[in-house]
Amino acid sequence: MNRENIGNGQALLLALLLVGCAGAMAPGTGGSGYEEPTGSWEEARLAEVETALEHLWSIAEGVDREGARLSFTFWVHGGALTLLEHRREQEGRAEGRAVEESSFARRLRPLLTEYLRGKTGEVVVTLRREESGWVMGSDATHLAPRPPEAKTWPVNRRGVSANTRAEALAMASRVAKLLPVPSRGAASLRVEVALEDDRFTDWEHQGYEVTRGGGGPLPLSEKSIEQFARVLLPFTHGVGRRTLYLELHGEHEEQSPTARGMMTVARTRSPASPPEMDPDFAARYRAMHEDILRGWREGVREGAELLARYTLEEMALWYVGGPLTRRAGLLFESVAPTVTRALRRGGTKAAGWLHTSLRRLPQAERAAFDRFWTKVQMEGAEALSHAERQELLTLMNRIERLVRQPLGATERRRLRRLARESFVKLHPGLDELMRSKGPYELHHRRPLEYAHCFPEEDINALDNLSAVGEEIHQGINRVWTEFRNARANPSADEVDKVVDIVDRHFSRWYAQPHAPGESAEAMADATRLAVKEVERLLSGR
Amino acid sequence: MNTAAPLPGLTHFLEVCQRHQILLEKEPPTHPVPPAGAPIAGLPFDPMLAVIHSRIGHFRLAEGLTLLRLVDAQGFDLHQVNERWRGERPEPLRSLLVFAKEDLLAYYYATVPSLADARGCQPVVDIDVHAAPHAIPVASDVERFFDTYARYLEALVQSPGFEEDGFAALVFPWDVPELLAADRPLVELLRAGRFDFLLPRDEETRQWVARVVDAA
Repeated sequence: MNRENIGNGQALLLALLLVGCAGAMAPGTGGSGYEEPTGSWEEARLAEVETALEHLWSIAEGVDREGARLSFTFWVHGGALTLLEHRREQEGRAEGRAVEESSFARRLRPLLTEYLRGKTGEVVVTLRREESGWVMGSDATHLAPRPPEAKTWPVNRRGVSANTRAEALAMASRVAKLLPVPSRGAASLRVEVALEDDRFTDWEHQGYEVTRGGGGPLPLSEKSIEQFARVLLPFTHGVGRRTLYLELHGEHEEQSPTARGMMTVARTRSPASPPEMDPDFAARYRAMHEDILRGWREGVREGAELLARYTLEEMALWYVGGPLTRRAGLLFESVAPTVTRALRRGGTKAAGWLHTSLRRLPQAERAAFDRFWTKVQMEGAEALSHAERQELLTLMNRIERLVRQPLGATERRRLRRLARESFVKLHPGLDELMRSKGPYELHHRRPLEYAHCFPEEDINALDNLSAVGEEIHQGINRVWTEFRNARANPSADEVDKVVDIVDRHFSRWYAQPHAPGESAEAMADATRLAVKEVERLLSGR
Repeated sequence: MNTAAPLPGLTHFLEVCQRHQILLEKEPPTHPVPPAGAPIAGLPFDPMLAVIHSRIGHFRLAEGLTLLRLVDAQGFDLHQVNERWRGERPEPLRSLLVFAKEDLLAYYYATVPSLADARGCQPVVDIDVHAAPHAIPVASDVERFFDTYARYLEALVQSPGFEEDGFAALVFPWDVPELLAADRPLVELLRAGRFDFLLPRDEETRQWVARVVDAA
């Protein structure tokens, strides 16, 4: 269904029909799983429409030749609009009459509003310049999977921040410098611009070509640079890391001191997920990040306020999934090499490690950590002042020292309580089952007293915990007592060998309800055999 | 002790548990209570504990503290736990009388018969048998133990980290030396070195004991 030259009434009718047939998305969780901000959804949806109208007008207002054609491909989801592609498909010929912004917006607003009322999917909006104004059309028939940068929540904010506007202009200037145009000639350029949320972070040259020869190189006009920035701006509303592929064309007309440039193609490209990335982790991170980003875009600046609704476990996931982890090596490898290695693994393991490590920090230091990491995640590492950067480095070094030193009695008890809390929360059924025959206890397969031998591992990770009958736990502890008495400072390898011995002799009782006195003989045998193996290990036989 | 004797420590403890809704299980007494001084696995039953068991048979808190039953169908009761304890533990832990534990963790609470006062009331220690087994003192008698624990629970739920860290926000007894210091007879016992035979000789314990004594 490719529609052009149809009146607003028809466009509305078609848009309404699409609502019903294209996977209508009721306002609710926006697909992210997080609760919607009550009462503000309608306002946010309207803000999305107005922002899109502003952007489209800012691009279209400079195009006044009859026959010119522009297209905008949006992803529409839960009342949010994300621009995926813009093309300047056709140049016009004769100059048309001036068009008022109000009449442009009046005609386009109902179309966008209706799409945002429930549609999920791709929508292409086309604008064709006629002598008296713009003719609008749309096509929502193309089926495509949701691109990761597309928003799933509307943002209750009009336009973009002054900072983003300045960044877009700076990037437009940088790109313009890559396109010198021969006098009386023409040239083209392909370039990729990197974005992280609202921020432009990098660019990469993809090829320059003189398409029509001429004299010496001329710069592009200021007006062209401004026009480039106007095209870049609507792409800053996406989520996460992505690149923007651009095709630009420049030409020079006799007598003009500068060349005229136009951006003919701007298209987002999502980065491929690393193959090792756990899809569940990626999805949880993505949903949480969008939720926090929405708060940020709506004006919340305090880290504590942005993160107030999240548990420390969720916050650790967000920290690990974000850009700071990717840049950890550059930022603090020298003061916190273990922390850097632990974080670089990414995914659930790194998040679990960070979660446990943060819980070992006092509240005030945790709050400082939240503040700095949130700032870096939302504004980039450059946003940290020198003093903040030093404070962050001190903090990372503190974590480094914490994870490398043996746990004291207080910390061991605190971590055991945390392990109990997460174990019971995640395994309520097993907890009930284990209590059915007698008391049970949580066994850290790698004991907490040796946590410092494995500083990059989360000692409270679920795969390090086993539920065992209370008597079985005592048997296991006796094996470790033998080892401890013989080795004051064992290596990680020796500890892991004992873990293996204990697992081999006792794993038959892991996650099995156990009554006091039951299988006493088998347990005594297991303890005796395991102790013998430990003795052999220690004697090197 | 008279079974009708007032137990302000236990009353305070139960009131705090109920107010903060952390009592997961509470059972009335269901079996005859051994008299004060009666042997439990060969050690004299604490007179305060005897009175407590005449008022409450068992409890388990969401925070973890669990009072052992006098008789338990699953075989994990005061008598059987102490029988096994006597058979498995080396001295000096062997001569302690276990009466409570922390749910799912290998931390126990026991009275110390060898330090009983003139009334026969025994101090209370916290035992960790995860790694190198050791015990540290927490109260001069069972009643004071419950009173101190009640104040610890109050401090725990009011601590700034409680919302985030739950029951790990404050760790008993390590994080609350000042609460233990209110138990003056306990401080006197510490000063007199009466618990030295039980205390581990590491720096963390030494500093913690100093904090308890200093806070008094």
